Amino acid sequence: MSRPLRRLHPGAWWLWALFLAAAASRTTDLLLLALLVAVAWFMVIVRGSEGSGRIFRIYLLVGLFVLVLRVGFRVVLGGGAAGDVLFTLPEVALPSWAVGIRIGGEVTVDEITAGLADGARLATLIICVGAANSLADPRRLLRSLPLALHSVGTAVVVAIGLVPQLITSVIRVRRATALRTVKSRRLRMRRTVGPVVDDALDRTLALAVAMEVRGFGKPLGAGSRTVFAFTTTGLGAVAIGLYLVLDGTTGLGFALVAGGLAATLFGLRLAGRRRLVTVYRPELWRASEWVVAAMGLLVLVVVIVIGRSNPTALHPVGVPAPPLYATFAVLAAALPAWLAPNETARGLRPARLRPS
Amino acid sequence: MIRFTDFSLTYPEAHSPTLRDVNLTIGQGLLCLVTGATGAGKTSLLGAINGLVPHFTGGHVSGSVVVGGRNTRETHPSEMADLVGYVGQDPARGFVTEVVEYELAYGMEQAGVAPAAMRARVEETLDLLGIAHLRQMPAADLSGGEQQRVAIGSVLTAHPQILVLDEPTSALDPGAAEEVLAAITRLVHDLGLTVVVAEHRLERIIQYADMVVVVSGDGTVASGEPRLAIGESAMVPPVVELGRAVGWDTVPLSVREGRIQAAKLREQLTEPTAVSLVPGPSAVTAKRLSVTYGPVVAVRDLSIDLNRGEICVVMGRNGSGKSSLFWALHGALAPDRGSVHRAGPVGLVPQTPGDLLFLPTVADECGQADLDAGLERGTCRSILDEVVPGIGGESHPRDLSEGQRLALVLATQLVTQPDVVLLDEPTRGLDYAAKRNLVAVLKRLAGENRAVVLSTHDVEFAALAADRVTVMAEGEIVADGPAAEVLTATTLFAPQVAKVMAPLPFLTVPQVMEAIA
Repeated sequence: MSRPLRRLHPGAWWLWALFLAAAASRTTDLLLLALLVAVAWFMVIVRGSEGSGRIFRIYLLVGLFVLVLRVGFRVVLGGGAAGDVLFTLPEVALPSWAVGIRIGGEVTVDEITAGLADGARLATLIICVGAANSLADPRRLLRSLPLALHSVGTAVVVAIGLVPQLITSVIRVRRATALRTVKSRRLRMRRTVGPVVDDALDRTLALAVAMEVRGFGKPLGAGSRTVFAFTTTGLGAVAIGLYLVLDGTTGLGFALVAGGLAATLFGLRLAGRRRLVTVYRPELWRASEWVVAAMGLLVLVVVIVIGRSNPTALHPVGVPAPPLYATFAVLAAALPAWLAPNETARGLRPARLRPS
Repeated sequence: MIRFTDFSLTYPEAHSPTLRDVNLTIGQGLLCLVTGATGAGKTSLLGAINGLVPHFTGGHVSGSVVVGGRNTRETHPSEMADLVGYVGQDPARGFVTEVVEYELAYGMEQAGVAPAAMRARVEETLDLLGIAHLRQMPAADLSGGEQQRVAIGSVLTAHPQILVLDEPTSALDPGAAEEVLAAITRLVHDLGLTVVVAEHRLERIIQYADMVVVVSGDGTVASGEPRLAIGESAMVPPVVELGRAVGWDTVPLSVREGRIQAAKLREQLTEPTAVSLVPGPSAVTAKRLSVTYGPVVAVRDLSIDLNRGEICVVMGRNGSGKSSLFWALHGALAPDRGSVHRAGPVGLVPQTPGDLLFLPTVADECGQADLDAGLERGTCRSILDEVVPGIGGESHPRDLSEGQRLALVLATQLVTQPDVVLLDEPTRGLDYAAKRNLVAVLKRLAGENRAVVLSTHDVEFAALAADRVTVMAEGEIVADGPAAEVLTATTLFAPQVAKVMAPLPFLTVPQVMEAIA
């Protein structure tokens, strides 16, 4: 079967990556985590959008940093866990009121492996989110938000766009400070902050004008407020409900989720009928999107099922030994590299080699 | 199509109205040029066409503006999007989405245009403006001329009948400005759009205009056929000035009209004596200078000697390395390779002079500059009064006009008594009067035995100010020599008078008049 030539819906990539992240949060098996990172990395290389390698590298570095930090904390502030002592750091004598806090002292193998497991789990989570970012620009995802949430999406897109502009503005102004010697220390902050804030205000006003003259924020009649109210409160209720469910307050949680979903759907239907705005080249959600998302879900489900039946299987002590099914599921998550539709007829090609 | 009736506008806290008793009718399908001094109210007049004034800006309004049958008093600017396309001064600041294609579609999405129609209109607009190859590019990465065309495209897709453009070419180099003007004239001629353009640099656009609206300092407005409307105004392009000075029957508006009438004059006059540069003592010397940003080479193995008592104008496309050269000459930017030898202190006025101002009043800024230079209080103020007199000490630097703000920053740089004064694009946003004033200031600085170096896209300004012209491309110097030689060598950099008088190498109206006398 030949794959259709189109872009995959960004939501599919985000679901895929977030399912992997959720799976990662449920295990401390170092090999399994490494495998998850490998699959995410592989997918970014072969299916990432142009220039995404750079973004992904930042997430990789942040992940590594978290890992090092976690282990470092364990070593320095270790709780004196039992087990084989690896080496001994000089211990800082703390006053008697600081009971339970220890700096330095004996460092055990268990301490380090626990730190590694903890750090690796968090790092994998971060890297999976990075993969989502690299596989599909979050701004594309925002474009596919339901119409009723259009203004919220626009606000986020604008905010994301303003960050790099703010950075260039800061760099420019800081560079300009070299042109004028100001001796007063008191004014040092002000001479950067002043012009940058002025610049940001000007930009914001210019953008507001540009959006206004192109019809944004057109008075839409009475209905639009109702739509907004239903969808936002609905989604808020879903979020709170989900939290309660995860927290164990199942009854109220499920009620909130159900009520919230109903309110949101009602709002969306209302908005759909009014056709407030339309979407240019809407992203399509078809069979391929279901497949990609399902591949991610499969990993999560397998991990949850294994965790339920045998809680220690995913948290090995000592040598990592990933369960066979979990390994297969993670490997299967790499399949979308071949299954998902392609933008070009050229087939699989590493993103980095694509001419820009 | 557009009718102003007894329209007056007073901004809150303003002492006098910005626009006063405007009665103006702009017919369908015309290209209307709005001109006037900086701060005269050109932008306010443009904003009144789609209701940004007063809905967005505030202010007290009397009279009415009716556009395509809609009264702007009752209609919100966002409801005018299908009738009036408005592009503001800095289009790069108005981009909402990440990619050109989506930017074009944005207005239609807001209007709820059906997806199939949107697709067709985007393709049509991409072709119309010649930007089809940019469709997948992030709008922020484009050149100035491309950004301007994308901004025009982004309002055209809503199929407006009127297009309003605020200084569409002021920040562009000559080549990019031509591209944008070509696109605008095509819209007028092929699509029958009504186009209203505000512009300082009349020489670029007046020959295409069907009518000219002059906004004067007191807020009144005069309009009419171009030759009539400019009347005795002093704010005219050099070719008009030449026509008036020589006393031709019809005042020429374009180089072509000027050239036809100048046939006899060209025969009468002989070639002006070539001014050769007498290099003064060197003030700053750069040897084999290179500046790089990652893989990008901004300045490539460049050597230049800048002399005292000489005004050197650096020209070249946006991104040809002019700014980087200036920063490296100043020393605030360390070059990657090569050396700069400076005989004394160097002052630099950057492209956005406002970056150097951070105090609430002009007086505070001057006082701080004196303090930092260890000079007596009032030194900076007296320099400022020499450069541009009459700036109120209590005004906020942000409220000054472009020319005044430039003068203030120049004054804060001059307190250090620099031997070299570098100005990065000082002519941006200046009207003819402010430019003439700046030329006088620069000549005085050069007369005080300093080296003056500036970059500009404005060939007419270069013709008036420069002793020496240097053209940069790709980080290298491609031409360097006396102004008359370099500016007449290529048509792209030739001022209007040179084009009219070619092959005689005259650059300015005073030069021609001197030769006649």
